[in-house]
Amino acid sequence: MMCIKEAWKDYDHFIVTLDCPRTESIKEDMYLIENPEKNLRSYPRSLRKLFFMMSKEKPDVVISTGLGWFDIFVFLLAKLTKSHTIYIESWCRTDSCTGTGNILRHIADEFLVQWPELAEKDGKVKFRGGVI
Amino acid sequence: MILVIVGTLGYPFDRLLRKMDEIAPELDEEIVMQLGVSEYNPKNTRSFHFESEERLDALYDECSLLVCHAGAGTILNGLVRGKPIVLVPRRAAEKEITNDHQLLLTDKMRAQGKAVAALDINELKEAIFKARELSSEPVVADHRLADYLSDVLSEYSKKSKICVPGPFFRMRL
Repeated sequence: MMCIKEAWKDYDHFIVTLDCPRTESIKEDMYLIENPEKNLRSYPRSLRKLFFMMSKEKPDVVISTGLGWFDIFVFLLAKLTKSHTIYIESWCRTDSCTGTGNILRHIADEFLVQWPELAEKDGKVKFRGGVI
Repeated sequence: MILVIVGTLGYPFDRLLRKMDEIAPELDEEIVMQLGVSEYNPKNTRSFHFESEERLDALYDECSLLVCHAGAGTILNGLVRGKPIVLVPRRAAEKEITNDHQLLLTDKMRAQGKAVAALDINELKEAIFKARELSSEPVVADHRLADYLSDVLSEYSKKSKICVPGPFFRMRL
């Protein structure tokens, strides 16, 4: 996400990220979602938070680089608010998409992968460059 | 200094740590290993479990060679600094990860000449010697993706609201 920051930083944006020790200290408001690996029971709480977030913010565009399974929920809500949705598959996936990616391929308006070979195999996905 | 990084995954990667500890005396170089969640206690190397991003950055800057699992963040940290890289992919069969996508990323890196791989852990020492011979330049960031997204967003006014879910990890690209 830090690699594509240039694209969205000048727009009115809001960050959603999983609570993790490696998360860059972001000096702005954001929606912090509890890491479900730590506590499975946090799921309902997180889904409720995401629901209220999407109904309050009503984003025009959603650009995701991965929020685990939560992406599916966010993208479905984005459909309801008619937001333009873009999913960027992880650079580490060279040959196949992640589980979330395989579902979002059918939901996202645009699905970008970071390896050209992966785009060649699948007409639904596009290659528009990677992190390197 | 050789830096060994296993990442912050919830699975130990003792196969790499043990072998590195074993061959350490033959490498004539200081070795610093990140153990992650492993309980392995190395005898011949310095080690730590987890470190701050700042300290990790300093270690990446300082090292002469990176020996690591094939995690995206770790590889990118080595590539942007132009460090020679030896990749040891975590394997699902060894219960080091849940699937074998690290193996595929290793193949790609090797094919592009960006890293040396030690698929068999017994070839680690040879892989390190081989990587030491290689000269590598820092890779430059690919701006096409950011440019493409800028183009998409240019159709919206600056007041439009953009939702950006994703990991916000430090990356010097």
